[in-house]
Order: sequence, then structure tokens, then C-alpha cells
Amino acid sequence: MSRVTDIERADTETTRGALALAEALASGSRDALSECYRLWGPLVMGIAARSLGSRQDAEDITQQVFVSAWQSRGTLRPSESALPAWLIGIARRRVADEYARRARAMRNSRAVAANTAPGADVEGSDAVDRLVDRVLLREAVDQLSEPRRTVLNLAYVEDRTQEDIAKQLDLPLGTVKSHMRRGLLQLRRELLQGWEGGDR
Amino acid sequence: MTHVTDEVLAALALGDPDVDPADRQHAETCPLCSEEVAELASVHGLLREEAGMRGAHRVDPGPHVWQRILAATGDDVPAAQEPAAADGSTVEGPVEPVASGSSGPSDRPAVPSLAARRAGRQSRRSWWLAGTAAACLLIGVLVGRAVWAPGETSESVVATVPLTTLDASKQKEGTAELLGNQGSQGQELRIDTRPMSSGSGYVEVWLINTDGKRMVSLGVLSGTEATFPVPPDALAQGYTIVDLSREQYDDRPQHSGDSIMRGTLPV
Repeated sequence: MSRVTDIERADTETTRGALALAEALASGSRDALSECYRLWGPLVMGIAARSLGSRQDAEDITQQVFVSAWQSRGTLRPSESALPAWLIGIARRRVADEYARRARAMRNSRAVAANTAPGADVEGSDAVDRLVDRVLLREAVDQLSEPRRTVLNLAYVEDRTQEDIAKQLDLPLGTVKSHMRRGLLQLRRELLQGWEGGDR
Repeated sequence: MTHVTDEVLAALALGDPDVDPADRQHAETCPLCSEEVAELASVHGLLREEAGMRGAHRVDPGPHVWQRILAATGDDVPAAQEPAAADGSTVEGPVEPVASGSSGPSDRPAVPSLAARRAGRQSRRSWWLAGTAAACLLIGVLVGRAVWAPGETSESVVATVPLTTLDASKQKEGTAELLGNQGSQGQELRIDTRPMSSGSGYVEVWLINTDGKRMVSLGVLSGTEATFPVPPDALAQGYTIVDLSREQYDDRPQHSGDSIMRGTLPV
């Protein structure tokens, strides 16, 4: 599965060179942009595709996110976790913009006909946030170390009981429970980090 | 009692029945701890929701997306640096690269050329736009008819929207007419209002972006009727809210915040 190797590659390289990469991008390196696209392009595309349900729209959003990242690279404050959070923040806004645009397009035609002035709002932004969070959770689960990743996958994806998981992995039940709890805490931290790219 | 540990919070969020009753009671009554439990429970819920999704959360955008990014950000990156350059296709420069599905070894499904994609898109888009424009025109004409005498709408009126007060009464105080061809440059906005008092100041006409943050000033309205040129592309960029504001002769060139009436142009 090329996806798995992709993620593993992303894994090792993000932990090793994330800060250097962020610094290189902020200082205007095209190589760094290319590297960012290689590491997180599929994730941004995944978020967009899932949110918008259209491959073409998702490609447009992915393009916009990286063009926008390049144009606003000066606003990136390099740190080890800055880059993905920053890119995801941009993706979140672009998807929300697209939702708002779709809602507006529908509403405006109705509103003009109904002789009422539509207010500016962002319908569906919560739905977008949930979708993005779920994609980020998938990513975060994949990045958990073993056996935690397997424990959580068995529990959530395969809906197995903790007793079942303990038996299958030949681990004490207490260890499985502990992985579940710490895994949950860890995932929450990851998710909150994903929100740090909040404003540009 | 002191707050419970993170592990206990997580156990509660997971619905573990074996949590110490004293801990449970604390977490249920302590606002801080119960908030934490709720947050963790929502992560738990999202994970369960996501479990039903078998589709990949990472999706390969395909090499043409990277080529479009290159084209949009400049052309000084050699093709060799293309991150997804497994198919050996080259980047032609800042203009749309003439990517073709037949270039390079084709062990992957052929990606439609950018030109074909563009063409496909444009035909879809323009069809959609034409439909919308026609609908808008129709609505514009209908509203126009309702507002004025029939026959007063000229052929170049793209849309007509009422300008209403911002309070709940939404009283109609005027009309904004978009003139010119939809999508082309050279559009104009004709404002026609009831006589209104501007006090010691003046009335300014704005186009406000639907993002609620950006706006452009179209100019000053003296009297009750005037026509303003609309900056090219402004509507497409989302500057669709027509706003008239009361302004003072002060040191603040931006919008005073004192809006008299508004209306929203169809996109």
C-alpha cells in the first residue's frame, strides 16, 4: 500500500525536519513548498474531498491552499508543529468559504426573489469542522505508536470490546484500557494542535 | 477534593464502569472536570463516527494539481523537483502546461490534460453561470416590474435589488440596479433612493464583501440618484452587498458603521 509508506515517510520526516522545513518555507524556498505538498498535499486533498464531495472542487481547494500558503509564507511562525496545523487552518477556511459560497449562491437567488436581504453567515461551518476533525483523527491514529494504534483501530474501526482486544493482542486488560485512555488524551491534544493554525 | 487525573477523565469519557465512585462524583459536579470529560467524549464520538468511513483520509491530488500550483506561484521550479514526478511529465512554465495523458510511461491511469479539464470545467461553469444569470435577470426584471412601472427596465439591467433599512422592519428606502453584462467588465451600479437626511455629513455608497470584512467605496451619493462604476471582478470576489452609509467630515475615511440601507446583489 503506497499510502502506508507515504504516511510512514511523512511520519519520520515530519518529526525530523519539520522545524527546518517550516523555516525554509517561511524564507521563500520553492523546494520547501514542494516538500510540503508531498507531505501534506494528500491530507489537504482528503479534507477537501471529504468535505466537498467533488473531486474537481477538492483539487481546486488543494491548489488554493498551497498557492495561498506560498503567498502568505511570511506569516508562518516556524515551529515543529506549525506547518501541518497552518496548512490545515488554511484548508479549513477555504472549505468553509466554499460552503458559504454555495449557500450564498442558493440563498441569493431565493432572497432576491423573496425581497429580503440575506445576512452574511457561514452555514455548515460546524459540519465542516467535524469533517476536518475526523480526517485529522484518522491521521493522528495512524501516527500513534504501537501497540496503541492497533488497540484503537480494533476498538473503533472493528468495534471490538476491550476484553476481545486484550485476548487478541495477548495484553493484560489493564494495559488495553490504559492505551485506550491515553490514546484518547493524545488524540485530543493532536486535534487541538490542528486548531492552532486558526488565523493567518 | 482535588481534580481527578487525566486517565480518570478519559475513562469516564469512554464510559468505563469501573471508575472510583468518589472520582465519578467529583467529575460530575466539578465544572472544570465535567468540561474535560465532555471534550474527550466528543473526541470519542468523532472516532466512532469516523469508524464507519472506510474511504481514505488521504487522497492523491494527482500531478496536474501540483502543476497548477507551480503555474500560479511562478515558474522557477524545475520539473525535476515536482514532488509527484513519477510519470516524468514536464512543467511548461507559468502558462497552463499542456499536460497530456500520453506523456511519460503510463503505468498509472491517464490524467486528463489540463486543457481538457479546463475546457470541461469552463463549459460546466459557463452553463451554470448562464443559467444563474438568466435566473437573476428574470428575477431582476420581475422585481423591477414590481418596483417601477413596467417597461422602465432597460435591456442592460442585470439585476435589481431593493435597498432596505437594517432594522427588523426592513423598510424599503431605495433600489440598486446592476447595469451591463454579467461577467464582463464595465458594469455599473445605479442607486435610486428616497430623499434622506445626511445631517452635517454626506452619504457614501459601498460594496461590502460577504466575508463581512472587506469593502470598497464606490463614491458619494448626492441627491437621490447616481450611477457608479463597479470595479471589475468585484462581484465575483464577493463584494455583493450594496450599502449606503452616513459619513461625517472626519479623519476616518473608512465606513462609519452608520448604515442607512442595504441590499445584496445576486452573484
